[in-house]
Amino acid sequence: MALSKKVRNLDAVFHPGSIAVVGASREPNKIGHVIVKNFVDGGFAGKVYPINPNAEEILGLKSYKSVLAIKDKVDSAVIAVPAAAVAGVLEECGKKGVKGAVLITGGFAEVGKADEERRIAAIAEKYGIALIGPNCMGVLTPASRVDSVFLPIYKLGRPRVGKIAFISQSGAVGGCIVDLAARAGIGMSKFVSYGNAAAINECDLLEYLAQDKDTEIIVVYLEGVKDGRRFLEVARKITPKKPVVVLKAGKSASGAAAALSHTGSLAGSAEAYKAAFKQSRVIEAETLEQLFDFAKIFDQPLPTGDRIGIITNGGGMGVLATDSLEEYGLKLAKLSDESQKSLRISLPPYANVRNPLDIIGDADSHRYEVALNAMMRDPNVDAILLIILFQTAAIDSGVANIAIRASDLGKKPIIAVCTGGEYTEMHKRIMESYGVPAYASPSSAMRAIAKFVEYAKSKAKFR
Amino acid sequence: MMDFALLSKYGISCPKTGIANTWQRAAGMARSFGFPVALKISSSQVLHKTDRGGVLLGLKNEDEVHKGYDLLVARFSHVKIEGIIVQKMAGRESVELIVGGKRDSQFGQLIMLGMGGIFVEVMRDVTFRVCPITRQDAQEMICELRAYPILAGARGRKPVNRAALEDTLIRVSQLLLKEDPSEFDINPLMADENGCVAVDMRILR
Repeated sequence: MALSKKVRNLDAVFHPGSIAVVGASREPNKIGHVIVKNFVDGGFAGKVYPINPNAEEILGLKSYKSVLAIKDKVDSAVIAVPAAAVAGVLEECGKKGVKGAVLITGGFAEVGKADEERRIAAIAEKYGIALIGPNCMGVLTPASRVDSVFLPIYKLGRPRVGKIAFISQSGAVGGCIVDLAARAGIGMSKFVSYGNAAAINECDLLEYLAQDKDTEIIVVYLEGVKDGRRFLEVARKITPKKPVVVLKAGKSASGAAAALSHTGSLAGSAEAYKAAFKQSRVIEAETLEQLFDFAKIFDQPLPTGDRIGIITNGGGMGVLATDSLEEYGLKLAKLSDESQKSLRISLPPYANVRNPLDIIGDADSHRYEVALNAMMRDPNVDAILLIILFQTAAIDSGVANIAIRASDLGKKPIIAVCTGGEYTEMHKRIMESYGVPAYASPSSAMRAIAKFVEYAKSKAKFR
Repeated sequence: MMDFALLSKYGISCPKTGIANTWQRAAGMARSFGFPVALKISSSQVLHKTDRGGVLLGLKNEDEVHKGYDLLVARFSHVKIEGIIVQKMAGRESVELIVGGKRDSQFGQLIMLGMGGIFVEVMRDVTFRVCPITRQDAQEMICELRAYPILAGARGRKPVNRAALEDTLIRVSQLLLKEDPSEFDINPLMADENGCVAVDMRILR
């Protein structure tokens, strides 16, 4: 896929060597202040140029009257000036040779000023600027500490460096999810709130992320697309290489009430999106929770089949997991004779050596290790669901370590289920930070595994 | 209104139909189509055939066709009759499906497959794709229906002819792209082990 100039210029948005914050402010509660502060405090290694005609200095940085007043080159700009001033600022950016811009300012098409928005887009087009926004919340690149999200770091957590790129049409929804992901220990390669998408839209971002070496999984929150057919074609090209998980909001309007045919009354825009997702092998999430439940599992190697091995230190959780497994059409692995023999020797005599493998409530880290090793070796097991109830006396942090070490081998997918309160949550976070997807319930884990297996099948990894 | 010409242009099968002016001709047609058949009055003066008793369904042999023919001719003796339509009816083991289309403002023509009949909206056992569809899309649509086991031959039925159903879906997808209707229904599409036949349709331009 040959990328257009504006899409290539997204490099400047995500990995700039220097950035101008136009509309920088000395007032701590102003957006233009928070953005400068986030770059400074966040540890951005490049140059930061605050632009404010009335200030000498902002947060210890020399302030400039305009981007044109800066001698050195400026790769990218974050623009947070009143709507009326945007066109002028963007012209200056173009003249300065700025390649990427994030336009935070609202007050365009979303309030009926579509003409103003087209004018902005035309200026970006003229100079080939990769323009994100307007009316957006900003961009994060955790690896290069690019942070133009205008919400303070102490209020909205920033995720660790990871492989998931997340693009969101809504700033509000995107922000909440980023905050949740950061808390859960989920890593991101990029976050983009793309707002009104006047110049760079969801398809442009998808094309860019498809070729981004830091991104392995793409997550999208959509309310609508600019061009359905293009979305279908772009997504179709990406999904064989990288999984794309989408949450499409705005589904309630099903079918036209005035339809004259059966098909007309059943075919709403939700059905059209669903159809397009199926045809392009996009993984559809139904809820906010599922969006990252589905995405984070792709940190694991793709399964080569649908036979699941379950390890648990609580019998009931094994039963619940088996119920969900059937509900989502997965298969319970039949442990090989060899596995059963070795487990018979290593596990206490009162343990049952069948799948789901209940290693009993007095299981410690060592017993988990024995069980995990047996399943890792067993050719009949395609993926391992590791249920750990942290509430028991014998369990401590060591078991998280064992899960992480097994996952690091990258041989088979290992998916953890940890149901519980604070102590459990802490360990879930630790495992998550090391790339072991951890779920709060067997059903949410199994649903994600089902999507994982379905994707692997569509890549013709097996069958 | 059933537009046989449109459907046949795209290779979509319609029920075998003929028009007879004597009961012997009607019985002969019925014999060559295979039973059961339906008889329908053909007259420009009779618009709502069913309401006026102008449609006889499920005639199983030549004798019934003879009696039915005479009954319709007698019942409509007061109007000008162009003839009696003889139409092959689907067998008892057929499955009623619906195949439809709709122009979506964002994605263009959508194609729908579902369980047909009058309760389509109640059962909502339907699935959609964006046109054009591939054979794989068609296969996946069929397998996605909740009622798929019925198509695959539940309770000792003969499975429906899968290749014929896939062909029909692909042809409807072609029709939708070419004709670009705002809405389109084939309901029911009767499917059995021999193939699929469009029994009724509706197109809104």
